[in-house]
Amino acid sequence: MQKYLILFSLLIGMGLSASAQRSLYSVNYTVTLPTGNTADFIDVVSGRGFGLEFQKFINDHVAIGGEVGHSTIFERTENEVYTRETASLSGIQYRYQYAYPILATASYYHSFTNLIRPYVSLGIGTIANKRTIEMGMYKSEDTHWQFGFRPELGTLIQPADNVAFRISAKYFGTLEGGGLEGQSNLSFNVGLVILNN
Amino acid sequence: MVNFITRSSVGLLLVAGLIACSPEGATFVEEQDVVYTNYNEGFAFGPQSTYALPDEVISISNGGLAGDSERPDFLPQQYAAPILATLRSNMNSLGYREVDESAAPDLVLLPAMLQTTQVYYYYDWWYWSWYYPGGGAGWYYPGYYPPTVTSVRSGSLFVQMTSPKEVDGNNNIAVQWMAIVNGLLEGEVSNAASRIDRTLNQAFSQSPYLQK
Repeated sequence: MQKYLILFSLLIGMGLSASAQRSLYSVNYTVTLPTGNTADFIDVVSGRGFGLEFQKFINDHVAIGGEVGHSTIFERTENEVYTRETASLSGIQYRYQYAYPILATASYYHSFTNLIRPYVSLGIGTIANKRTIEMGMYKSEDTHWQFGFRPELGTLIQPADNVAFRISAKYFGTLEGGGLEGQSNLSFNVGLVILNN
Repeated sequence: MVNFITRSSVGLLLVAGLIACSPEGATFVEEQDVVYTNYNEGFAFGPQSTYALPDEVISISNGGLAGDSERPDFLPQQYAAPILATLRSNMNSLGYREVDESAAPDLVLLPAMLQTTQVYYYYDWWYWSWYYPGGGAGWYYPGYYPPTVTSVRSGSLFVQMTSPKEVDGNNNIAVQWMAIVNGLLEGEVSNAASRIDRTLNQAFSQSPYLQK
């Protein structure tokens, strides 16, 4: 019985493939939750972020493309003393970290129904992490280009042929490089997707 | 296609709106106060028991040059009094006893307000020659260096703690501890006393090695 069910599902999948879209564009709003080394620097959830994605389907389920984005995380730290050798410095710090991911992406979309299309996705590329610290009149600013990767789990909710909504969670990770240890964050995305047939 | 362009434009507008939300920065002048301290690791503060504190805080400005007049400019008492009081209360609570500068103190505190945009870590000895017990020729910082910044905010308080019993061959005075509090004279006058209190206390609390 199970075999028949699988076969049946596959047939439905093929039936859907006939109407599969050839490409999609999407604009996402992003909420960022810092983790790991990034959380050591700034440990505050931020809603300042967005992403732009383009993907082209190479078959019924697999799409490849690219993603660019921007997120800002921010924290004001107080009552902290920074000591180096015999010198100590204290004051209110304003810390910012801006991330600019530029990634090549590949996704696998599955269709349970026409409406819900869950997918898994992997992105690989570079993420520029710009760190800024303001303290008193002093300001330091450094941009670190790092190798980045990004697994993603999400779903499209597609009420019409050409339009869908995206809900997804991404984990952005970078490897140590450019004078900065590896960075990471979890990001939660909602977006508008335009599909071209 | 036109539909797509329309929708993209809306998306881009949303994006532009997000970028426009620039993060916060310092709003009040006291949020920019920075406290820096440094010390001679080879100096034992514990065995020291007495200190001397002048009645004045020196004001160093871009105006007159060292030696132009008989005495240097002093800070008005409305600023100097809270600075001296806070220094005194911190030294007393650490366990040091105040004595007159003529009574061979173990430590001497020298507060100066730098109303310039230059840092004078080696500012002219002349400023303190009227006060300092036993005299001297200048400063040195045993085993550490003041920060290498090229400009400070106007109105930074600079406190040096010296030990008159330690002078080098050139009669230079050893500075065993130093503190710089940035930007105290900016902002409102009524606010200055509480800021002086807070930031100078911070200078002592971030220097636990001063505890006897």
